[in-house]
Amino acid sequence: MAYLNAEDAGHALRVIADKLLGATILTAEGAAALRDESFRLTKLRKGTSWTTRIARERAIVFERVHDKDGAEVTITLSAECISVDQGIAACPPFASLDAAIFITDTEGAPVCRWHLDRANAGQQGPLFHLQMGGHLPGFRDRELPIAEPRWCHPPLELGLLCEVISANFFAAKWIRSVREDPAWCSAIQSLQKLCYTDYVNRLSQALAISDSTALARMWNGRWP
Amino acid sequence: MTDTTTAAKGIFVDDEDKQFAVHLSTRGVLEFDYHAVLPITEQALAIREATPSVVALDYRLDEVTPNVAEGHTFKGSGLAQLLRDGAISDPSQDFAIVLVSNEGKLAAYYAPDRTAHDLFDLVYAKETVTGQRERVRLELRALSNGYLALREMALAYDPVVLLDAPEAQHDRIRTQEITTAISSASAPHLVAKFVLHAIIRRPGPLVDDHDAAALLGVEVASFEALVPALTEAGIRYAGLFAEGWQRWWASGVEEWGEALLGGPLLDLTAQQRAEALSARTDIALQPARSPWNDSPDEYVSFACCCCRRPTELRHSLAVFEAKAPRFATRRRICWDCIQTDRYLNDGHPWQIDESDASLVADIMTRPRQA
Repeated sequence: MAYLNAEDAGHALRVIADKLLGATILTAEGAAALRDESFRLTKLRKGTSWTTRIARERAIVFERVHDKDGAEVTITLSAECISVDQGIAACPPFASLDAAIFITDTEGAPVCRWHLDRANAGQQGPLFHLQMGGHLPGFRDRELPIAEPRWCHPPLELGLLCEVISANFFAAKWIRSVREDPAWCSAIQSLQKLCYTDYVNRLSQALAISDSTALARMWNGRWP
Repeated sequence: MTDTTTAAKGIFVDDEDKQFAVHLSTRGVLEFDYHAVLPITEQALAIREATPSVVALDYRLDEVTPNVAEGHTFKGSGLAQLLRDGAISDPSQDFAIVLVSNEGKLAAYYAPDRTAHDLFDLVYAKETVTGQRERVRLELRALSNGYLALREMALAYDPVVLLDAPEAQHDRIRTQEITTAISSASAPHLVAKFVLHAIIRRPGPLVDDHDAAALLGVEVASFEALVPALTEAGIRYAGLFAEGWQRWWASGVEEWGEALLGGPLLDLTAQQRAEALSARTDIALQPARSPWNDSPDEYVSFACCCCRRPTELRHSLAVFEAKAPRFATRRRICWDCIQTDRYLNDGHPWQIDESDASLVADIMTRPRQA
């Protein structure tokens, strides 16, 4: 079942880019990166399968914020590959998902990195999971020695990840200028349908089954 | 007998309507002389030699021109350009230029002439001058005094000094966009244009009574009762052109309210804000009511740019503003003005931002619910 077509997904990303730029949450280059991706999707018109990629070198850059000690940090969002395919049942609606939030200090050194993935074939963990760490090019010595835990987490595409970053790191601006903006809500809702519908159904069904657990049902390889 | 020796000088140029020189004048403070239309270079020279504070031009100076040869007529914009050129050469003699023309001519001739829009400090319809004479005079006096202050600064413009910014506002004012526009200006009229249009006449670091009332969650009529307290608190704008436009430091208003209430203002509904402020100030304040559903329980935070009533984010749409500065607050229109088409008929060419345009059709038929 298709929840969203590429044109509407592109429109939603453009609204998100404009609203976050207007609220001084996204930088001009960050908004441009997201807007470029939105125009590319819009050209696919009524298609229900698409792939987005935001290279680390041209990541979605947010305005700087301060850490607890007052030092400036930069937040960027990139996606190695987000491949939407609303026709597949095994891992709906993402054929692949690999997005990362990377936080660096003013020298460009890593503060932390989070990534949201769809598990690879045979990988142990929830099908869609949130994980700390990952590759830190140029800073291999800072990489975590372990990959676990992989937290069971609903899939999020670029727009919803932007919402997470905005709400967490720019709470005052988000509450004041974005959170209840009707166009913003409409854009986010359309992306929520894409990302959450199958996931929520699966989780909801898990609650009704007595001989298993929710985590077990969400585990990689256990999806239909 | 009135002593006019200290009055600032104004010049009004028109090919008719001499009486507007009187309408624009404040006796003893800013007095306009009428100048009939002359050939453009003579006209410009006569104006410069008179060293005025404010020059008011009609847009169509080419209709009744007995002193100008056929083929040599000109419009107000042409004369204004010549006067601005002179001010760049000699900034110490710069003065304000305003356009005064009737509504029909402004719409038919001036509005499409976008290259002319940067030439004038302000634009008044003649109907406004006659209908709101005191307000127009007040603004012209503010322009006159502001230009006097700018000329005395001799191109050494410091934005903090110019805007008389309280210390709490310095960081907001010393941003690159504001500092560059003001400090690098090569004539008073360039500073005047920026301060008037980017800072005073649109919401941003400064807000007017309507936006300030919305921040405090009260009706504009109730806000007037708070003016003495806000003025006492040092939140009232006192910088360039302040006497012509009552403005408030936006973050100052919010911090004043938060200090009284002990928490973020915008976490409270208008009703809650009004009740709490009434209790703390001993002034009976009426809560702002949503233009969309008439409820006092909305989180109003700004004034609709069309009707100017306090409005909430969730029942409003963004306005398209191609030239909005980065430090400005984006303007929004309430759903009431959209559903009633008021925003299309208020004399301002408001356009809904393309991000929000797809929601208009739904709003037009949406029932109003709290």
